[in-house]
Amino acid sequence: MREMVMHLSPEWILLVGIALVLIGEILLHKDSSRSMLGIIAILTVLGSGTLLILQGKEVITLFDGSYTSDPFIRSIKGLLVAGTLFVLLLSWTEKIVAKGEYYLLVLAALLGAMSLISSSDLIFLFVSLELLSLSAYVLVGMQQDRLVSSEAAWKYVIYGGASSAFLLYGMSFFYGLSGTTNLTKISGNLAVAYVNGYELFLYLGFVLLLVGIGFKLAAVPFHMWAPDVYQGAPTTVTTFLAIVSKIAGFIFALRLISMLFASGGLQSILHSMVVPSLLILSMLSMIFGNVTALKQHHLKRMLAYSSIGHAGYMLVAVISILLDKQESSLSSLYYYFVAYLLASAGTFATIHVIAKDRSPDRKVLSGLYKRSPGLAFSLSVFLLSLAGIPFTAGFIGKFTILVSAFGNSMYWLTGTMLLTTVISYFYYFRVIRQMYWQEDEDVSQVTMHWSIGIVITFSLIGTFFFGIMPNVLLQNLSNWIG
Amino acid sequence: MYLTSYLALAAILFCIGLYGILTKRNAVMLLFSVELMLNAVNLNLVAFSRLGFYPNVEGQIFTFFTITVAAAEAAVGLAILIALYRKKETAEADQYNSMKG
Repeated sequence: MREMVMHLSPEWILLVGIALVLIGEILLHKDSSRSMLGIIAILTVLGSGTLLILQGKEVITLFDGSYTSDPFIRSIKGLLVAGTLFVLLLSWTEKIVAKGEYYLLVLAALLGAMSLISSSDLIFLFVSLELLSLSAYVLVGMQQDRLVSSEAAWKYVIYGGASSAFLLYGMSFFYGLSGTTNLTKISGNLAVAYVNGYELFLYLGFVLLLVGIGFKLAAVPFHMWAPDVYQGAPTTVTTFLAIVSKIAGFIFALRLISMLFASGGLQSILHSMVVPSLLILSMLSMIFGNVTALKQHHLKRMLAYSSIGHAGYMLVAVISILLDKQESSLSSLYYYFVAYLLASAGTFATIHVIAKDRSPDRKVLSGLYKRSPGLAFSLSVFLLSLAGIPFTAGFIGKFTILVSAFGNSMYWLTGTMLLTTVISYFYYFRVIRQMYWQEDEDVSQVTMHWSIGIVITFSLIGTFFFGIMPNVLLQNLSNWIG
Repeated sequence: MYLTSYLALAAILFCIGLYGILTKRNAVMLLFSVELMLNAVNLNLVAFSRLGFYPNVEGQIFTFFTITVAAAEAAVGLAILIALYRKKETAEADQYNSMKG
């Protein structure tokens, strides 16, 4: 019992934090400030991060193998914690935090994301995924004075619900063929079913699963919800979706697929069906996401399409891991996550500051260089990192993914990746040009709260640091995982 | 033999739900369609847990979780729909189109 509490401590503390926020919300007077709850939430998340570090390199299995936590999973959890911390800092001055539920939902979503990437059981996996999704649906609709916020939440609920149904339908076939929901045992039984001539059910299950996963990752052709949701959601929630939800989703997909098809008898399916279909998703996402981003004027919408493109790049890394199962491929994915987290958090934070209550189309950035050179410089660095220009973390991230994809002889994929990266330069540079070379339309001064300043500074330092000295992270990571 | 008929029924339900999502304009009907898809899954799980290749109780436990989560999802969906209805004053989902790329 004591072991269980110790091993689950990063999750337990979140649960305690959720309870505290809930009690605080009841006790606080209706009109009083909710910053107390914000402090509780930030401390909870920090505590969870500390406990993660304290757990060290131990490999933990609990509940008859349905909960696993190894150093790699723990390092991903660290990223989720860092992302949530950024989101909480960003939302310090936001109007929606006047309602205490905001903190509750963010913590609940983080709890869902953390247990999602640790779970090795279909039931546990599904419940964690829904904890993350349901919290996210409500978060997207929190700005009740904006019509688009409710509308985005509505679209998210319907698409999310349908994708859960697809995922579950696929899972039900895998359960039926193997008679177990435990992912460590499922693969062997699936191989028996495959030999006994039930391979059609396996294919059917996988296709359904792929549709569900595709929706959750916003990979083309299942991306329709992403632009609307990113645009309509409050900017802080968009940041949460773009960082925490996305990273958790990728690790979920990677673990689910690799554990389902782990057995030796299923390698032929893995190579003839699973990898090619992921390849198609990845290519379509890279091409469609980046090309459509070219036409967007609304900044958040543009970033939504760019994040669809990034999902394509991350899928390349996922495919490499599925093929070679090398530590280097794992660390390339991790590096990309770090770079993407820093650059996205920074970009959204800057847009949040500049646009305030206005709809952020590209024009709000006009002449930003004269109004606020520091912010203009930071935003340029973040966009260059997203584009993958040398001396930023994004470049190293893309480079390591390219190297591992090349190692697995996926030449078409690397070609598409290079080509779409070049396409992406157009829209990233267009934003930068707007800031430096367009005439000033509004002369309002940009004021920034210190909490947002922290996020931008951290992201800026991180983006440069990991861009110039990638070995620090790569070496530590391989020591940590190995 | 029996298993096949249950699976077929589940597949039909799932397809009706999917068809509803793709074609219906009324927002409440969309929520119903999602529920229909989730119920198809429940039927599938229960059928597998009783008549599958390895009959055991895990499928029925799974069903309890899906039913609960589906209820939560319907609650969230309806709450959001009410918030939206207050502003738009319509339940026709194709009127919810103020965002364009």
